[in-house]
Amino acid sequence: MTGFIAPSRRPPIPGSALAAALLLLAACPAAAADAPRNTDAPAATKTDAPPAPEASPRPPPSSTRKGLAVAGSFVPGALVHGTGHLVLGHTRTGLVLLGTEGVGVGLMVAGLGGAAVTGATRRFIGPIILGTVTGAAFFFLSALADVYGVLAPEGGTGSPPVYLPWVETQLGVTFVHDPNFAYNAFLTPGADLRAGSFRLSALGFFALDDTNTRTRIAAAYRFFGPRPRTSECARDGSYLDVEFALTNHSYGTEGFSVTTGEVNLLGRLDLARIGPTLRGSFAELGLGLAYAAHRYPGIGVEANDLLTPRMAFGMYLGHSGYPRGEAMAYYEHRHDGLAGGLKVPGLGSGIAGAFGAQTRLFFTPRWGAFFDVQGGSALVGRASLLFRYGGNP
Amino acid sequence: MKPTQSFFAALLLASAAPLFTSCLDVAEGRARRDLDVGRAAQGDVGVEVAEGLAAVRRLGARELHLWASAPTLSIRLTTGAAGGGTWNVRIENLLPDAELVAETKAGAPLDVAIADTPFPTERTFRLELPANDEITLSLRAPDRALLTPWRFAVFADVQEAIDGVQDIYTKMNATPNIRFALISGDLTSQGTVEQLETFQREMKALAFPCYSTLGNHELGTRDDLYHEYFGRGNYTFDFRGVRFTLLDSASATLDPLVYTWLDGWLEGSRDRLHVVTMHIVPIDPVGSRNGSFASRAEADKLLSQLARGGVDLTFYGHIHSYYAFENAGIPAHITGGGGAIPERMDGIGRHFLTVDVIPPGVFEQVAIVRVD
Repeated sequence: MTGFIAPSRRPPIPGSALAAALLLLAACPAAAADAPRNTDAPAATKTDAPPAPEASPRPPPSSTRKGLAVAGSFVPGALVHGTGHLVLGHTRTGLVLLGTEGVGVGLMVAGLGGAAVTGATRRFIGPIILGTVTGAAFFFLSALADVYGVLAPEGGTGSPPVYLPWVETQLGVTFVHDPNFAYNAFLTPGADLRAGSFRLSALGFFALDDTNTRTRIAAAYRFFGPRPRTSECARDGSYLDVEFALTNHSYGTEGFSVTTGEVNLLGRLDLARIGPTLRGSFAELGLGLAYAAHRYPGIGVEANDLLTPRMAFGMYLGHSGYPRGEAMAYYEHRHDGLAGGLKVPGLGSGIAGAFGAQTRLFFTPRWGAFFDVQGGSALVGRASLLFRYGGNP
Repeated sequence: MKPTQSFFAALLLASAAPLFTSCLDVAEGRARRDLDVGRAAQGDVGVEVAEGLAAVRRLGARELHLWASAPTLSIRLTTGAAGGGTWNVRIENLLPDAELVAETKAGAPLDVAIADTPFPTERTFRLELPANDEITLSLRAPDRALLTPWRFAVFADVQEAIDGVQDIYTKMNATPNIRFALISGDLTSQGTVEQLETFQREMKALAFPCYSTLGNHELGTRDDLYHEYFGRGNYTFDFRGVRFTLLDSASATLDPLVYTWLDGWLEGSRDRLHVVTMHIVPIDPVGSRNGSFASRAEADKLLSQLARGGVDLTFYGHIHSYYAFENAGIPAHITGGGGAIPERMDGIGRHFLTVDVIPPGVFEQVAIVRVD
């Protein structure tokens, strides 16, 4: 029994989404022209057999054209997003990606221009940064989607899970190289419990070579998207969550601690909704706000806020059988945590958050592995063993 | 995984390439360069300024040119076989009433004459020095140990407004009793040779010296030019009952080497007031803007260290407005009113701060002086 969706299915559009999803969803009718005709098949249902990638009705491009498309997705695709698809003949998908880039550039110009004109005024800097990061997300994700679309095999690299287990646990180690802190290794246990649309999560980082502890608990509600098996089957991997989290990070050696409360709106959009060439890929955008209480023993508590936007581009790995999972590259704007923000030579250090890449791969229905690397003020690498139970996708 | 999936996994990892742009030791070069400031040699003639508190702008034939980073300097000059004779020691950025005292290694005093005073903060001293000797030159302010009320100023973020900086200097000169000013970085917009020279030239109009550290805009061209012109980015000095520590946070971090220096500087200031100045604030009071350290954790580490070390007052730049707040219980002031693009709708504009000190234990007030 598998809950994976067949690649040929083209799911309908949910009614609500965050900004990125809305923009991309708006392009879906146009994308339909790129989709194979039989994608009008009913929305996903439970299937007992692993779905097989379906052949596109349009004749496959010649190797020369495909080569040109791949080259075009880099040059001039790095500047004119969607070039690869335009060369490949997937005009509407290419134009959607180009339009997404345009919106991204517009938001970035407006954001950076707004910051310059207002002198980064305290009154508007929050919306300005969120707009700029959102613009950057549209810009970079459209570029990566173009490259993916011209390189991906028919049917994409994988299919999304349409069910989630009701419990998933992890136990791993995290290695950190931060020149300003003594710690290097953390034991990292964690667990996710899901019931219907609700999720409770806990994740801890316990230093093995220092007195440093970071614990995070979160509660989330899923508006739409994959849920445990007792719920309605999701149409693809797209989702929209609102998450409330509380994090406490204690720095025993340095003598301070930080407690952070945050709310995040995090959405994922399966890019198959944009066009058939993008099957197996997804984009994520998260917007959030946090409030942190910094405790200095013997001195007191001081409060401060921070923004927690996030963006990611990823792909599902595997249509059926195992190993199967997903991988993504991401950016997190937040400057707290083990990675912190990016330090770069020149005058721009400290502005950007951390970049990372992570992979979740299940080798059996229950056992898997999680790998994550992040680069910011520190280099962080995490490897965890995953165990899930209950309605394995 | 199939080969295609492996390929795409590799592609995905490649898309995280910015991860590898993270430069964890971005300030290390500058911290190490601090250790070389104040030293120079030419043949068997050499000079070493204690604690690196002056940049050696030139060491030539019986000629020494320094840019002072502190009111008091101790300079060791090795004359060698060729270094005997009449020396011209030109010192810029000194207190107008500073005096230079010289003695040989054996302790014999040497006559020091003032050859030229082209500006209030620049003087050329003339000395007759013996060859093959080690001369100690001491630049001293007459009031360096006085524990009576006094005042200093703080400003930052001149950047592209260098052509209008004389407005600020005029107001500063008209403000009574300022002994010197601290500059919390961003003297220039790109840190080019021309801009650094222009800044030093414009400073000649001031009636008192300015002790500065660098800001992120000094890193716009190369990160080693600032040290040639202004000296160390991380240093400390004492004056009239107050320890002043200037830190290089221009890269939104401090180098680990600086934290070890800071431990010693804090330990040595338990019996006096302590002012710490740097460009980028550890934690922006408007956190969502994050005009602050790249890592909140490092910011808290620094603030904890400063608080435990008994720091009494902190000053920052980088944010082009004025904020008064507390960090780790230490009174903090952001003063970025040197003329760079101002934060709008804050009602602040160009400004500088004056700080009134009542030694040995009180900062009486920090006042904002508006220029526009």
